Amino acid sequence: MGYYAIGIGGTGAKCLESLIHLAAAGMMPDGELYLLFVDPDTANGSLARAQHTLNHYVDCKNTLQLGQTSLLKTRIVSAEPNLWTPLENVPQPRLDQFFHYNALRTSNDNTRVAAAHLFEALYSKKERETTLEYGFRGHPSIGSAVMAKTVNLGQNEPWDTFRNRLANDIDAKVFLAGSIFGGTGASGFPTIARLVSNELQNIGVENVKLGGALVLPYFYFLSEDEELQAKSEAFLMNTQAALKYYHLWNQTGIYDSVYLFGGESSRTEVENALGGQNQQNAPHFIELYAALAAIHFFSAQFEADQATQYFLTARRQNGRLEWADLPDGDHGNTIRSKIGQLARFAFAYLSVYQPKIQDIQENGRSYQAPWFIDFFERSQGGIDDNQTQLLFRHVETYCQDFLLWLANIQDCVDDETIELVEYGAYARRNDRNSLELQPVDSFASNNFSNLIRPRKKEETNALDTLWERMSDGRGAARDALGVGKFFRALYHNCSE
Amino acid sequence: MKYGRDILLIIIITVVFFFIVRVESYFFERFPPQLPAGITMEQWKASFEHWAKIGVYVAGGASLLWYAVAQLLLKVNKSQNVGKRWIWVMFFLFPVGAIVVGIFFVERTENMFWTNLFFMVNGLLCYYLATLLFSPSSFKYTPLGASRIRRW
Repeated sequence: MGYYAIGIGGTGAKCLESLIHLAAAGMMPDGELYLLFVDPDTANGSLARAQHTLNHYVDCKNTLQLGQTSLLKTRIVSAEPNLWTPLENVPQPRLDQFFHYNALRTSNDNTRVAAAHLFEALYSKKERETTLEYGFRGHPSIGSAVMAKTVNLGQNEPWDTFRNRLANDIDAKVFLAGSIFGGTGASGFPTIARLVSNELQNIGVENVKLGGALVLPYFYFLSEDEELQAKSEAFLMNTQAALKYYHLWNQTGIYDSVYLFGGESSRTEVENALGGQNQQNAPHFIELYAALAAIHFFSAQFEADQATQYFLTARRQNGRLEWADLPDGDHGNTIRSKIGQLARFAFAYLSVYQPKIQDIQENGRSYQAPWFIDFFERSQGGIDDNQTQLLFRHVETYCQDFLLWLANIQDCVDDETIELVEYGAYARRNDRNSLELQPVDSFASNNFSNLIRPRKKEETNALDTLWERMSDGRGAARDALGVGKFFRALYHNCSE
Repeated sequence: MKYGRDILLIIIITVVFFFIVRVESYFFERFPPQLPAGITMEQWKASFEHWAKIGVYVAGGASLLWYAVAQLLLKVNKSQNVGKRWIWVMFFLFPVGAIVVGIFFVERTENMFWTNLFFMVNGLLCYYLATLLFSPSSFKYTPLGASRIRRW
């Protein structure tokens, strides 16, 4: 069985980013996960971060031979290309050009002229003429038209491969995630699902299940200019309109499961950006919910001819989020345990093991790190080859991505109490008020055992205990190979 | 469990060296040194064994002290707090001190070569072997040559 996840727009990409991290922590059910991003704004900063995370996950997974473990358990296949843009990389595309409005308007054919008039009635001059390189600017009406015209399964990549995989995949599950209050997600969520469903019917594939996460407004930004762009003050109205539209036209009926999320207060302020690299909104716990929804959907059993299921969840206490509030089917214990283990792994690797490996490579004296001799010198005769070096960098970068993502999940809202992570041990706010990792020699090693809330009795020497376990060779698995043996053991020894 | 086992094995190595002292004493029975006037062989052997055993006691104690310091005080919470070979070398000063004292106070003979050699072997080898084989896991390759010998 294969799992397919499509992140639509910036929020969709961020949901997939969370899903990748949960997959790294071993939260996914057994099976392969195929990921695809859909965004007209190819330079979107949030998308770039998610792609970056995906690339490093895939690099780590493909090169580390870890054997049977939760760490990077899921094989993630990145679509080729992993980003599909409905605007086909046209520089400064405009809606009127996209629909050949001028040609329609000046045509001798009355039908075409009527189409031009209809086009004028549906879209304002500003909507018609504003360039769309930064996406659909919070206007689903633009996005829907473009998406419907351009998504063509079987005609171009990555849709061709996507369609073929589904056609050959028994019991495949496809999950779409996007926001309902912007432009790309709101337009792509029903449109892409409909096109996928129609195509699968055309080729006689019936067993594919469709699930979707619709994210309602959960942040705001201050916009002052009059330029055509997403405006957070319109988010609620957009959402209301979109939900009404979906309901009236049963746009979600095509799905087997739909999950809706929203931030209660919508008080998370993000930097106002039209799009591009500047639109890099920090991760938010809502996206973690969406990723858990994807995992719930992938794990679910469906009966034949089952009506669309709509899922609800709620926090136990208003304005407060704890692990127990996260719907993992185990009162939050599973996710707390798995995220905690991965956090400790990343923290330990970045603060102690990676610097020591580098030091030994530069200065020798491997006797200082018994695990280095046991895992690297004896088992594989060293780590100086380029491939191993590259692998260490992939793991390092992924660990950095993960820890920063986790810190942001903890610190994404100002007016609510979040009891998930103690990120102060490794991250801090910078001058631009965004979170960044501290230099590794500033990581608070005495907080290693307390990265996950609620805090327990402080174990100031937990890293020492870990070092001892690693030096003892504990957790060295027979089915892991090469450098994978070391990472497997480190991960194993970071369990609670 | 693991710590108790290691400490027991260090003690066993030390005990083995006490037996070695007896063997060395037997060696002097077979090849008696030129004793100074007024001292019997039995008296000299008692003096040799006394100082040799002190050397072994001190070496065994130094091994246990190294184990305790490495296990309890040297905490590897940063990548820099590792190795500590200089501390392990410094602990050699204990058996070396005991050897010097033994050489100084043992009843003198005409030729002190074997006596001095046995004192040195007893003290240094006891400490070296005990720490080579049974240092705490985090510092198991700190003793010189341990990375070639130790496989656990």
